[in-house]
Amino acid sequence: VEPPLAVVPRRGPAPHRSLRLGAGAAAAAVALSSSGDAILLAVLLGLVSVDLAVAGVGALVALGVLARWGTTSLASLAGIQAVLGPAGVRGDLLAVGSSWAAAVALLVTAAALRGRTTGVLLGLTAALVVAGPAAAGGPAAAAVRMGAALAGGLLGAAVAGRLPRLALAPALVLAGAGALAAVVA
Amino acid sequence: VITVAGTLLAGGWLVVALAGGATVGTVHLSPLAAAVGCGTTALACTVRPRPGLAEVLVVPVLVVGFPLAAALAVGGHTALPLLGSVLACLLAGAPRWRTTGWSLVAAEVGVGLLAAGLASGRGDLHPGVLMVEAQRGADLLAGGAAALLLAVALAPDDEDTLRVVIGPALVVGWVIAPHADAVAAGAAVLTILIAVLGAAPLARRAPAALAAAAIGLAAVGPARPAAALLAAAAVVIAAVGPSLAWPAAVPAAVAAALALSAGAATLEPVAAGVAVVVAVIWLAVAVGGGAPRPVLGPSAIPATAVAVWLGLAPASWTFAGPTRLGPYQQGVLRAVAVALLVLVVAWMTGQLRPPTPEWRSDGW
Repeated sequence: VEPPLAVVPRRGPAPHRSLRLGAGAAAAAVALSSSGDAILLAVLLGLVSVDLAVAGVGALVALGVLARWGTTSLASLAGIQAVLGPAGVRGDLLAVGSSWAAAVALLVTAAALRGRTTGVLLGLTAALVVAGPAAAGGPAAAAVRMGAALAGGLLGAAVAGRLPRLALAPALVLAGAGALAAVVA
Repeated sequence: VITVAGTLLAGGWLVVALAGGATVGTVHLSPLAAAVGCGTTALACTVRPRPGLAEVLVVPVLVVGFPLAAALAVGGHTALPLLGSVLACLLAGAPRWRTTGWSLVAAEVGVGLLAAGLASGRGDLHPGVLMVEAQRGADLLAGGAAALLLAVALAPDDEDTLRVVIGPALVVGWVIAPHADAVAAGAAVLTILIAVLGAAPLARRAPAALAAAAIGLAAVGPARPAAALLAAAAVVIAAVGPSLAWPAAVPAAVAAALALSAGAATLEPVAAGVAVVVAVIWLAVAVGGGAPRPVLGPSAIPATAVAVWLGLAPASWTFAGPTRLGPYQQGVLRAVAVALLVLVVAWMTGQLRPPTPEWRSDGW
């Protein structure tokens, strides 16, 4: 017998729970191991949040990476940063600004969503974009990579849910501006 | 019977594609032509026979003859059988002219343009013939392909015979794209037009938009391998539905981005890029909201297998050309492995059980 005033979830089990769990694990694996493709990571982030706008922000960030480095391969991105230095520090002002714009767009996206898991994944991706050198590049590169990933993940979790969902619109604009800056640079 | 025969035939085409092609008499089929045969077989399998002798005959003819006609046309041989296949599809849909409406009209225009174009090109799509002797033929054929894609986009949900003309449209468009005028810009306009066709069903418009974008990409030389992948994605999405087959479009989009970014920002690559972006956005909209959730039936098995293969191992599609998708494939395989592992662990530990009801904080 069901007690009165029970708040039973309207649709029972969440329809995308398995999908979100699998996509979250896959996104974490791709981001942490720097394997795969930035556009693939954007699709996985969209699946985790079940939100087209999040996938859109991720895709714009991926296009910015493509415009700046000529590749969307995460392994290549990590390798380039291991040789040239972190993307958020090395390079001319416009190029560096494009990387930071992408990272901030991802963090704003994290702030506009409720789940902390999604926030951590978006923070990890932001860290990858500004400071994600391959750990095989030496102790310094490994330290930068681990520190940035830790900071990005924690920051993503901390800001999750702090902004209204409407903040996704400026995040999209910011990611687009970052991609445009990378094209111009 | 059709499903089993179609699966076997699709497998046969695939073996020929992976074996590097085949020669039968004077006819040589390239690996790409055989792959086109495989894809069109998978697409034809999903046509549901309707009551009536004509319809019952049309499906087996499509499963056997349609792929052969498409493979011959891609291989540079005669395209007249392909025109015959389109005509058969059109005739099969003609009795339902009240519901098919503008789709049938667009298909008729397309057949007319294809016939006129082939007449100019002496019946085949061979680029050499078109380049030297029949530039107008190439333009007519490109217009015919565009009209057929409009027919696909406007076809009602239950109209299967008009849906499969996406195959001939892609074959003609892919072969003709480098030789006709302003194909990339035209494809971008067509993609946008398909996207804004308010009355047409989403599940039809998404693959049609992808196909138009693929033809636009095919006009940009270095992006032709990406165009082949996008065309394959459009075919499997037309066969299985956007809700299930959308991952097949991801590697094609990646390949397109890589190919287009490597060249100069002239009109053609920019127009092709716009077409791809619009098509991908429209696919996402179809998956996210509007498209109906199809039930995966046995007839969709060959197309689903092709979709899974394209989604997981696009770098192995060597017959499409160099696509620079090695890192993508490595990442997607790792991602799928990790996701499956986590899901198995979650199921075994009971994490994925239905949630228990939540209670109010006042004790109830």
